[in-house]
Amino acid sequence: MDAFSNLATGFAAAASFQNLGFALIGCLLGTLIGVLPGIGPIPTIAMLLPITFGLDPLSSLIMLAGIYYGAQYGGSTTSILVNMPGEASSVVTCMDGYQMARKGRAGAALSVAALGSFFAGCVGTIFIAAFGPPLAALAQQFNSPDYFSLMLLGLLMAVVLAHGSVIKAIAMVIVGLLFGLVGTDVNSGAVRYTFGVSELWDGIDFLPMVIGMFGIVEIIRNLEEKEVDRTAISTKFRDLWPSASEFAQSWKPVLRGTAVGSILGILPGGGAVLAAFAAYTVEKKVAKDPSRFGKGAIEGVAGPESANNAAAQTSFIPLLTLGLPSNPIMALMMGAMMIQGIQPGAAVMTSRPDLFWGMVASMWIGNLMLVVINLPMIGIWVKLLSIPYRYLYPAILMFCVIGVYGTNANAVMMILTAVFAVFGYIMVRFGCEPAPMVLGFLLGPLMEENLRRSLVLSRGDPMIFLQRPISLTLLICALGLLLVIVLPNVRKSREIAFQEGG
Amino acid sequence: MQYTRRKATAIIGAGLGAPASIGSARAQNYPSQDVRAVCAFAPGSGADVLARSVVERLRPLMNRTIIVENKPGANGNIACEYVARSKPDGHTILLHAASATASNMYLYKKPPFDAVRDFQLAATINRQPYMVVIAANRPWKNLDELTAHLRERGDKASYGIANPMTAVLGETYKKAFDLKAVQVSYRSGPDGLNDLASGNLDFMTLDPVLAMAQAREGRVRILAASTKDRLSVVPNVPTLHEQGAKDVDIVGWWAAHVPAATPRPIVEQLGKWVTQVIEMPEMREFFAKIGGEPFVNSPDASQRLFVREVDVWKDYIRVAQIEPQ
Repeated sequence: MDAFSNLATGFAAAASFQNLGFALIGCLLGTLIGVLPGIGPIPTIAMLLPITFGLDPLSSLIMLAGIYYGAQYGGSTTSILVNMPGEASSVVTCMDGYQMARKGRAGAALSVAALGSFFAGCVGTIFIAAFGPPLAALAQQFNSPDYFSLMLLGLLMAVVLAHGSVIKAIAMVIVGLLFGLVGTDVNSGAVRYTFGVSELWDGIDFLPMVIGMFGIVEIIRNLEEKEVDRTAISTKFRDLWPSASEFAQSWKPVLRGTAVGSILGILPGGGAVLAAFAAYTVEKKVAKDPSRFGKGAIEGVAGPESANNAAAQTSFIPLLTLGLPSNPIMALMMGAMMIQGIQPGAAVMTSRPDLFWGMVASMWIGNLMLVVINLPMIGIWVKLLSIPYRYLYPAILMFCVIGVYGTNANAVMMILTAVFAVFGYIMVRFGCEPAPMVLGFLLGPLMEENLRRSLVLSRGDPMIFLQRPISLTLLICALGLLLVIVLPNVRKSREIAFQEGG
Repeated sequence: MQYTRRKATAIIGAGLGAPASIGSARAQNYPSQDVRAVCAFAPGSGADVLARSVVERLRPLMNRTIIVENKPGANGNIACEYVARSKPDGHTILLHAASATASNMYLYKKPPFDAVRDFQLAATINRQPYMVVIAANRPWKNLDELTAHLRERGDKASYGIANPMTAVLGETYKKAFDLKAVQVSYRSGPDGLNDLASGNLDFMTLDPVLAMAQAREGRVRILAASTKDRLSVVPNVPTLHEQGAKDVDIVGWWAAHVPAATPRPIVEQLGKWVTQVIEMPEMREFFAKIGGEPFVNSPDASQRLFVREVDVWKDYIRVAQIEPQ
C-alpha cells in the first residue's frame, strides 16, 4: 500500500527526538492558550512565526500545527468549566458541557471531549493520508451557489440548536444576521452600519461578541445567584471518568461527529464551525429524548467535540493539496511555509515527501500527546471549580479583558465587549439563547456574499441555485430540515386546538 | 503648518529645511530604542510575510529589537493613521504597499490621513505586477484570444476581482478593448478560484503570489501582466501594454513609510538600511517567489513616485467606477 509506505516515511521524519520535542512544546502551548479565554491560536502562532525562521521547516510546522489542535483541546476546557468559548468551534460545547459541569459532571464532560477529540484526530489524520487529494477535488467543486445553499442549511441548523422557543431562536438568528451586516460590503465596497467607527469597517469582531455574550453574561448570572458551596465537588478518579452508561451514550455521537467534521472541515470558510453545529444538530435529531439537550446531555459534548477536532485536521487538506488556506489559521500556516521557502500545494507532496508526510504523521503524534497531557489535567481543572466564585470571577474577567484587548490592542474592542455583555444579559432575561445568534452572525455574511455573487453570475436568475446538483441537494436537505422543525410544532398546535375544541 | 512645508519639500524632492538641522544630532544614535514595524494586514497574510522577511534582516543592521505590529482593518487606513500620528523619530515604520496608501486617498471620501502630507518614504522595497489569469482548462492561448472571446460574449462574460488593485486592472483592460464583461467581487483571490475553474468566470485578475502559485499547480494560466514593461520575475509573461492596452501600467510597490516630520538624517539612515536589506541575494530570491523584484530608490525618488502614484489613482478610481466610501 502506497499510503502505508508514505506514512512510514512520515513517522520516520516526525518521530525524531527534535521533532517530538517541538510537537510537545506546540501541544502544551496550544492547550495553555486554549484554556486562557480570549487568547486564541491566531495571535499565538503569529507571535511565534518569527521564531520559526531559525528552525528546520518540518519542526516549525509541527510546532505551529501542535498549537492549533492543542488550542482546540484547550478551548473545550473553558467552554465546559466556565461557559466561555475560546473560539467559534467551541461555542456549541458550552451548551451541554457547561450544564454537565453544573451538575458535577465536569470531569466526565472533559474526558469525553478529550477521548472523542483523540479518536476524531486519528481518523482525520488517516483521512488526510488516504483521501487528501480526492477530497480536495471535491471541495473545489463548491461554487458560489453551492456555498449559499450550504449556509442556508447551516442557518436552519442554528434553529434546531435552540432548546427553547423556535420563534425566539429564529429571531436570534436574524439578529445575528443583522450584526453580520456591519462592515464593508464585499460586492459594492460600501461601508454599512459603522457609524463612522473605522474599527467596524471589517465587521464586528467575533471575540468581543462571544466573550461578552457567553463569558461575561455567565459571570453576571452567577453573581445573581447565592453562592453555592463549591468545595463539595468531588475530584475522585471514579467521578472524573465517564460512567459506563455515559460511555455507552457517547461512542455513537463520537463516530457521527467524526464523520460530519471530516467532511465539513475540507470546505473553506466556516467549515470547522459548521462542523460542530452540524454535529450537535445531528445528535439532537437522532436522540430519543431531544429535551435533554441544553441541560447536560453528554451526546451534545461528544458529537461536536469530535467534529471540531476532525475538522481541524481535515482543514489542512486544501492547504496541503491545493495551496489554498481554508481558514485564518491555515493562512498563517501558509505564511509560515512561505517564510521557509516552501510553496504550499500538491508539489510539496512530490518535492518534499518527508515534509508532507512528516506533518501528517505529527498530527497523529500530537493528538496522542494531547490526550496524555489532558487526561491527567482534568483533575486539576475540576478542582479549579471548587475555588469560591468570588475569587474565580475576577480572574476570569481579567483574562477576558486581556484576551480581547490583546488581539489587536484596541479600546473599541473593549467597548464592544461591554455592549455585548449588556445585550446578552438582556437577551438571557428574555429567554433568548446566544448560540443561534452567533451562528447567524458567522454564516450570515457568507450567505449574503454568495447569494449576491451567484445572482451576479446568473444575471439575476435564481434558477442558478436549482441547476447545480450540489446546491440542489443542499436545498433539498434544508427543506427537509425545515419540515422536521416545523411539523412537530404544527402538530402540537393542532393538538392544542383539538383539545380546546373538544 | 509644518505639514504644508513637508509637502513642499516632498514635491521639490529636496530634504532641506528645519527638520534636518534639528535631527542631525539625533541621527547618530538612531535607533535609540526598540523599533516598531507596523503591518496593515493580519499575521500570516502575504503582506505580513513580506514585512517580517524585511524586519528579520533589518534587525542585525539596526542592532535593535524590532517588533512587528499588525494593525489590520479598514483597508490599511487604521495602520496608516496610526503611523502618521506616531512620534516622528524613525522608531515607528509602516511597511506597506505605497500603491495602497496612495489609493486610499480616493477610495474613501474622508481618509483619516493625507498620504503625501503625512508620510515620507524612506525607501521603496519591491514592485510586482498583477495578472490576468484564466482556468487551465480553457482553450485561449493568449490575451488576444481571451479578448476575442470576451467581445463575442459581450455582457454575458464575467470576471472575478478581490481588491481595488485587481478591480482597476480588470476595468482598465476592459476599457482598452471596449469589453463589457461583468465584475464579480470576492473577499480574497482563493475564494474566486472555484468559480473560475467551473467556468462561471471567464477570467480573474489576481495578485502575483496567488497567480504564480496556482499556475505552478497547473490550475490557472497567466495571460498578461499589468506593468508597462516586463519585470525580471516573469520575463515570459507579456504585458497588457505590449498587447495593445497602451494605458495599462499598474504596479504594486512597497515602501517603508515614516511620519513626514521625521528628521532628514534619520530618513536617510533608515533608507540606507532598507536598501541594504532588499539588495541581499536571498531577498531577491524571496521577492521572486512572491512574484516581484527588489525596487531600489532613494528617499527623494521614492517620495516623487509616491506623489505621482496618488495622482494616478484619481484616474484609476474613475475608470474603475469605484464609488468612494
